[in-house]
Amino acid sequence: MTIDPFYLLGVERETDDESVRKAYLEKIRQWPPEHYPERFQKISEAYSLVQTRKKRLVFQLFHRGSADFAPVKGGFFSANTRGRPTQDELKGWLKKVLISSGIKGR
Amino acid sequence: MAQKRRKKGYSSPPRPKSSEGLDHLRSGHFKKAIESLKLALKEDPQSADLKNLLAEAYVGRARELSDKGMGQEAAIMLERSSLLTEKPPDPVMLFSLFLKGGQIDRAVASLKPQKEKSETGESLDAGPLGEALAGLSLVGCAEVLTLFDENSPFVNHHHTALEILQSYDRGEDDAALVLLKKLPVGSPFKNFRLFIHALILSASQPETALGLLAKVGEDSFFHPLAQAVKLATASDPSQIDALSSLSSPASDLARRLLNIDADALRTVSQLESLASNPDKLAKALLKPGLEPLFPREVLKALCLPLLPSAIGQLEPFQQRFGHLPPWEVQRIRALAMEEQNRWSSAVAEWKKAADNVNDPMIKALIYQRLAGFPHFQDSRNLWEMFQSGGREKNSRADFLESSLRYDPKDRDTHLALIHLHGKKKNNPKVRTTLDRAVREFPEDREILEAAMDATFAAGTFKKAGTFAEKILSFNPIHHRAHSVMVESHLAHARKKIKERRLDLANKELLVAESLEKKHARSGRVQVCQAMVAFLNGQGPEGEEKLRLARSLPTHPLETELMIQAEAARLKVPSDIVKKNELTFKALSKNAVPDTSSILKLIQNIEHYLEEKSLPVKHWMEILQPLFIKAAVLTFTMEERRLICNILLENNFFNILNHFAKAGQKQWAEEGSFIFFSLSAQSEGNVLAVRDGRIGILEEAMHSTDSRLDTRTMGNMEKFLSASFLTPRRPVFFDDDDDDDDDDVDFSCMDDTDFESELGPIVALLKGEIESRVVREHKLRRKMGDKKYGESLAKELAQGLPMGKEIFGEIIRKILENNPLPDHGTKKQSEKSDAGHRSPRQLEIEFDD
Repeated sequence: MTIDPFYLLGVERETDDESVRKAYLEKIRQWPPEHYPERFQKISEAYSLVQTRKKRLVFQLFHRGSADFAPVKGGFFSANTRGRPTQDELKGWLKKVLISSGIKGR
Repeated sequence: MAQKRRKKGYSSPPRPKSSEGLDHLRSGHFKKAIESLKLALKEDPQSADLKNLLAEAYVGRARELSDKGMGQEAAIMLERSSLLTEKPPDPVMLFSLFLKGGQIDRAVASLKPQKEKSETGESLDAGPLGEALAGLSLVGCAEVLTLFDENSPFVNHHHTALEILQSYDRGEDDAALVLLKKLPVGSPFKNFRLFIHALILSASQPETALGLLAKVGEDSFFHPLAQAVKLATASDPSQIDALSSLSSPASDLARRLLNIDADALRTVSQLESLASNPDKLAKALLKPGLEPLFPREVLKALCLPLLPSAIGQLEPFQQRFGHLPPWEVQRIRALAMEEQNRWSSAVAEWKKAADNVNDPMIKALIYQRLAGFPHFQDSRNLWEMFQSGGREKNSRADFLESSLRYDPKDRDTHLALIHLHGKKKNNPKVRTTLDRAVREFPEDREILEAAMDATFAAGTFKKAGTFAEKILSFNPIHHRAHSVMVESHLAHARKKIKERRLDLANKELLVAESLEKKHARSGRVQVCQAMVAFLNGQGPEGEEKLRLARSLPTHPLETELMIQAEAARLKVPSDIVKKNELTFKALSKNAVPDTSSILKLIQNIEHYLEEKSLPVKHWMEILQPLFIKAAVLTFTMEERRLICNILLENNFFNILNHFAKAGQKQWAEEGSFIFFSLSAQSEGNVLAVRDGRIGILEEAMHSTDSRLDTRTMGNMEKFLSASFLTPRRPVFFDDDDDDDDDDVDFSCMDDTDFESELGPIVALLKGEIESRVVREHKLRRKMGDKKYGESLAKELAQGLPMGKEIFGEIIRKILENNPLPDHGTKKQSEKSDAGHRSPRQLEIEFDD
C-alpha cells in the first residue's frame, strides 16, 4: 500500500512548488539518508511525485488504488495528541515485564 | 518361517528404569525422565547417582515450567531438586522462578542467604539480577531494600530514581533530567535512566530519544518498554502493525504514548484486510457506524481513490459526502472504464471531463493520457466506438494536438508529436509540428535532435542540415548531426547536378567531402564527384574519383550498386556510365556471396526502392543469381527473416522462395518460413493459396517463434487478411495514424490504403454481415439485378452509424473478395478440397 505523497511530505494538495520543496528539505533534514535510508527513499519518491504542479495534478487525476490508511495511522502518531503515561502506569507495566520475563538464562 | 518364529518368540528384556530415565533426560524430556528416575530410585533408594540424575531432571523441568510462565510450579521443582542433593538451590535461579510465578516476596526472600554471605549485598546489585532488583524496588517492593545496607549505592540510586519518577509525573522534566545525571553508568538503574530520559525527550527531540533507546540492552527488563517508546517516537505510520508484535505491557505503553484508541486500531486492521477488494472496502467505509471513530473528511479521503475500482459505490458516496463536480465524476468513471479495458467509453468519459473542467492544465493532462492509451485489442471496443459516434478524432496525434492547445509549452508533448509525425515520410504536418516545437524550445537539444531526425527522414535535407548545424554548435562531435550535414550538402549537390549547374554542385560536394570523417567515408561523395566530372567531360578525373570510391572499405558490389544508383538518380547519360554497368554485371556474376555483404546489399536495395525512379528491378535481375547462391548461406533466424521480409514486401518472389525454403530446412518447426514459402509460391496472393494451406498458414502463425518481430507478424496478418478469411487485428488507434481527415475519399484508394482504413471496420462487421451479403448477392444475381452491389449497400447501410459510402465500399470489397463459384468450379472444389474447407466456406457454397 503506497503512502500518499502529500501526507508523507506534510503538504496540502493545493500548494505551490516552493512549499513542496521546503517541506521536502525539512523532511530530509529530519530524516537524513545516512541514518534513515528507507525513510529517506520514501520521502524522495514522494517528492518526485509532487514536485511540480503538473506532477501533483497527474497524481490527483490519475492515481487510483486502495484506500490509504497512512493518514489515519498518522493521526495515531501525531505528536499533538501524544499521551504521557503516569508514573503509576509506568510502574505497572514495569512490574508486568519483570514478572513475565524473569532473569534470562535462569 | 524361521524368521517368523524368531519374531514371534522374540521379546527384549525389560529396560531398567534408570537407563530409560537417563535417555529421557538426555533428550530433554524432563517430565518422563522424572517419572522413570523416581521408579528407579524406589528400587534403589540409596543410589547417589540416581538422586543426582533426578535432581538434574527436576532442574530441567523447573526451567521448562518457568519458560511456560509457571514460575511457582518451577520453584517447587527446584526445591525438590535441592532436597535430593541436600544442597540449597541456586538463589538467583530460585529468585527468577518465583518472580515468573508472580511471588515477588518469596523471590526476594530467596536471595536472603546470598545477602548473608556477602554481608554488604554487593554481589546482588550487578548484572540482570541487580537490574531486576532495581526494577522491583521501583515498582514498590520494599523488601528489596532490606537486601542492601542503608547507605549502599543501590539504596541511594533507588531514592534518586523515585525522585526522578515523581518529577516526571509532575511534568518537571528539567528537574528530572538533572536528577538523571546522578545515576552513574554502572548503576543497576542505568537502563531505567536511559528509558526515562528517552521518554522525556521523545516528543521534543525524537532523534536523541531514539539514540538513547538504542543503548538499552536486549537482555534488559526495560528493552520491551524501550521498543514501545521507540515505535511511538519514530512516528512512522507504516510501523503501526508492529504494535501487535509487542508484548502486552509494551503494547499498552505504546498505545498510551500514541493515544491510540484500541477500537480504532482494531477497526483499521479490519478495514485494511479488505484492501484486496475495493468494492467491499468502499462499502465498509461508507457505513455510518465509522464516523465516531474517524472524521468525515478522513473517511471521504479514504473512499475516493477506491471509486474507480468500485464504481457501484459512486452514488452511495455522493449521497453520503455530497455531489462531486461533474468532471470529477467523469474522471472516476473514465478510470473505471480503463480498468475494465473499455477504452472507447474511457475516451468518451475523459473527453467529457476535459470539457467540463476549467483548468487548462488538467485538460491538457487528460489529452496526454488519452494519447498514451493502448491500441484497441478487440472488436467489442470498436463497436463501442461506433456507437459513441463513429469516426471521431481519436488518433494519438489528435490527442497530443489537443493537449498542446491547452498547454502549449509542454515539452514532452511536442517531442511525442515530432516522433509520431516523423515516423511517416512526406508528412506535411511534420513541418508545422517542428516549427512550433523549435520556436518554443530553440535551445533544447532533444527537440533539435528529434527535429533533425524527422526532417531527415522526410527527405527535407536542407532543413535537417539547419538543425544539425545548431546541434553541432552545442556539440561539435555529434556523430549523427555530422552525417546529416553531409547528407544535406550531398542532397543539395544532387539537385544542382540534376539542374546541370555543375560548378555549384562541385562546391557543395567539396563541403560534404570536408565534413565527412575520413574513417567513415561511404564513397557517395566521391561517386557524385565522379558523375560531375563525367558530365563535365573530364573522364579521367571521373575515373580517378570512382577509383577512390572503390578503394574505400565497403563491399565492391555495394560500391558498384551505389555508382549505378547515383548515375540513375543524377540522370547521367547511359553511354557515359556504360562501362560501369558492365563492371557491375561482371562483379555480380562472379562475386562469392557472404552473409554480411548480402545483408548490406539487400538493405541498400530496400533503401533504393524508396526512390521510384531508380531501376531497382533491373538491378535485382542482375543480382538474382547471386542472391539465389546466397540463399543457402548460414544466416541467423533474425537476419533471414529480415531478408525474407524485404523480398516479400517488394515482390521478389523467386528469390524469396529460395530464402524461405532454406529457412524451412534450417528451422523446420519455425512457422514464419512456412509463411514466406507459401507467400512466395502464391506470389503474395492469398487467394491463390488453397484452403488447406491456409490452415497450415494459420498454424504457422501460432507456432512461430514467440520473439517474432512485428514486421514479420505484420506481413503475415496483411497477407491473411487480404481474403477476409481470418480475423484481422483491429488497429484503430494507430501510432502512425496522423490523418485528421474524416472524409476519406475511398474511390482513389488502392487496396493497401483501403485495408488500412477499413480493416478494423471490416474485421468488426464481417462476421455479422458477410454471410448476408453473399446470400443476397447470389439471390439478386439469380433475379437478374445487375446493380445488386449498390442497392444492397444502400439497404444495409440504413441505421448504421457510419456513412453509406464507407459501408458501400465494405460490401463491394467483400463481394470482390468472395467471387461466387460457378457450378463447375464448385464441383471441382468439392472434389479436391472437401476435407479442408472452412465451415464458413461450406456455408457459402451450399447456401443455394
